[in-house]
Amino acid sequence: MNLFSRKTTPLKKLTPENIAVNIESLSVELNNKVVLDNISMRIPAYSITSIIGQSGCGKTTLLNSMNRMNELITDHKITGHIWMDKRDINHKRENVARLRTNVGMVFQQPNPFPMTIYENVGFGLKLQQQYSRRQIDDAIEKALINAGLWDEVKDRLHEPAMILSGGQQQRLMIARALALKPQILLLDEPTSALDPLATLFIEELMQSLKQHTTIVMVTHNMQQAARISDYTAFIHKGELIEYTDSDSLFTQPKHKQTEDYITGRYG
Amino acid sequence: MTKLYKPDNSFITINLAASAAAMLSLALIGLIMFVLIKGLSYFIVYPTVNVQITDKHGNALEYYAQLYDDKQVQEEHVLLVYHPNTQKNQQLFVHDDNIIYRPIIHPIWTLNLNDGSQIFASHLTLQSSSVPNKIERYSRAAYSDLRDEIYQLQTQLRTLTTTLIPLNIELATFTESGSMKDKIRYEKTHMQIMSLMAQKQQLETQLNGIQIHYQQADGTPISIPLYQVDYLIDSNGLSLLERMSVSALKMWNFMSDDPKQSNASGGVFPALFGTLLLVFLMTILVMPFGVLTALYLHEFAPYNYFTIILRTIITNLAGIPAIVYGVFGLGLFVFVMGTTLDQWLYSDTLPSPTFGAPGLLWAALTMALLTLPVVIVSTEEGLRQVPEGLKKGAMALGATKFEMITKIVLPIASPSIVTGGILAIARAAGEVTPLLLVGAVMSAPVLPVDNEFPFIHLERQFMHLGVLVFDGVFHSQTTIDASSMMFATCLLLILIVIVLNSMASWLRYRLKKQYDWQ
Repeated sequence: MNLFSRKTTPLKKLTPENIAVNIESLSVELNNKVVLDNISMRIPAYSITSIIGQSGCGKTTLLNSMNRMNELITDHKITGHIWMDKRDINHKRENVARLRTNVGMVFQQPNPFPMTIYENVGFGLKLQQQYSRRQIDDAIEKALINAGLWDEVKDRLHEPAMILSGGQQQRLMIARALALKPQILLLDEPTSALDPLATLFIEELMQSLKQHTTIVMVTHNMQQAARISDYTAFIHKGELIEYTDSDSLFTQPKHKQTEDYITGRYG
Repeated sequence: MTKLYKPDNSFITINLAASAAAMLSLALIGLIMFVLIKGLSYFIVYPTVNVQITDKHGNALEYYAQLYDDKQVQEEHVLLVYHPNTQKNQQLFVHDDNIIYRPIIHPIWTLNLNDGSQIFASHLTLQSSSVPNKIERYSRAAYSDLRDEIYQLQTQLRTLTTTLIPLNIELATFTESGSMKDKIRYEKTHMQIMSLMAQKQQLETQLNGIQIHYQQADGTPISIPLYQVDYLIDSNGLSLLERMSVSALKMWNFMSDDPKQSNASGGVFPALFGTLLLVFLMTILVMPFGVLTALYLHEFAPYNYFTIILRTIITNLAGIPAIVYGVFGLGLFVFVMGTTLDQWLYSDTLPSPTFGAPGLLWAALTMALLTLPVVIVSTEEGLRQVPEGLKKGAMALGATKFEMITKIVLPIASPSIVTGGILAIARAAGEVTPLLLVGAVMSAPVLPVDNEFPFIHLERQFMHLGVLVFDGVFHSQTTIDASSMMFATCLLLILIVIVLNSMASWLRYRLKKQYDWQ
């Protein structure tokens, strides 16, 4: 992959149709502690957006805001709007379960359910109770093909998912999210538990997925962010410091904090 | 000079730990062997002897008796004899000097009676009622012929009795209404009943006419109706195979018969049935409650002082003495709930109580209460083991909290839930104290389950193996048979707990294999 062949439209030139998620002055308090403070950002569709920052700066919370996973924490207070498809997903009448089928999520540690590979990928579809067996079978096959796992597991679909290696499990998690055909895929440090080869696999996979999905990724690995993401946001202590296309952010950071972070001066 | 290495004293710890484990296993093996030997001795065929005993007044008495101990070793002997006037077995402890063993010329038979007692006798002769005054020596063929005859007579009697019941009910309704038309029909039914009664009486006389005559050791001839005899054996003349089949028969009778001679002999079927039914009902009651409580505590309850205190109380409930649960069950379930239930539903039968007395339902509820902490604690242990990532993963795929719990949390926690069930069952099967207060009795006239609507009678009292053992402790001073029946009951109780535990362990193993997330 050649870094310099990439043509990324600058954020300011994006039209509203090209925006998948529009976050407006989002603030999040968890356990009486301000985690995100008045964040506004527009995430372009069919691209990869990275969120970088120190541990505990609120990257994951920002990611979790997009499918309302923050609400699993009992003590939470969320203000602001997040617009997707002209709907405010933070509205109290939003159907959260349906939102989460539309916004897939993959976690840092692969978390396959103690079931077979087939049942894992079909879990979300089965919950909706509106697809026939045949439709589910097709969706599972398609998701596994899209996640680049089909050739490796097609003969052992009915074996436990635990038998797969770490990298395969993570791709299975991506397939599990893709089976629901989400418009947005949230990845929370998807490769931090994987070896370099598996990481490469996932990165290539993300490149192919962005043809029809918007990808938002949290990562600690700045090389990775620079390598594969189109846009990068830098968050520091709950505030959005800098957000622009990756090339600009990693070559000419406008803020001193950003520069300090990407050059490794924060340690 | 400096020490180059620290001396390794760990062998002391290892030896201590190993000897503790060894002693524990020895104690366990010893317990099981003891109960096994004592319990199995209930099914052994003991030899019979012909003895002359000098009692404390100096009278010489002759007995056929069953000899329990090894006469070579001990000086005191235990003999089981039968007294025809009291119709009971008696156990004699006799010193060696006071016994004269006499040669056994005629075979000494053991007649096992329906009521659980044993007659020791010689010179058996059989008398048939169909041919008067025909008396023949005992032979296997003649015996089985008479047995067939008895069987037929008893079948006829049973059919007669069943035809009589509806007629008697009919008669009662006629007596209440007094019209002329009914009077003719009343007469007719009455006549019918009278003729049937006469028939029945004739059959009974016939049945009593089939008799077995025998002689006691002192030569006194005695006869009893043959139908009272369950089976008879020549204890001394049996081959090994016959001995074993008699033992097997005794085991079968033990499992399938009612207790006899006030729980000193016979079988334990009602107690076995009662125990299993109680455990079953208790499991049905305790599992949903326990699992739901644990789910609430772990998944929904806010983390505050109230929850912490509640959890502490639940954990400590397991340590409350069982008798306290019994008193609580008696006070709340029987006296408050039962009485109220009677006033609402069974007011027509008051003042005789239906649910206002100790019974199966209250016993099951008390046992459920007793085992609830065990189920809650072990279910919560299982819930704690469900990885947070799996729960989040399910939620992220659009599962509601309910779906997440039923599809991910409960399956993964199921081995621990089953473990809780095992512990609850083991405790309920063995616990006696609270049952004595809330429904278990030494002898119940009927089973709690029969073919009468509603089939399971939760208000009835029931028998329980543990209670039977408890009862047996008091008998053990008087009859050896009773004490070994107590041990046989213990053995059965241990077997039940082992079987239930292994079934549940197998289930847990299967679940664990299926829902292993690591």
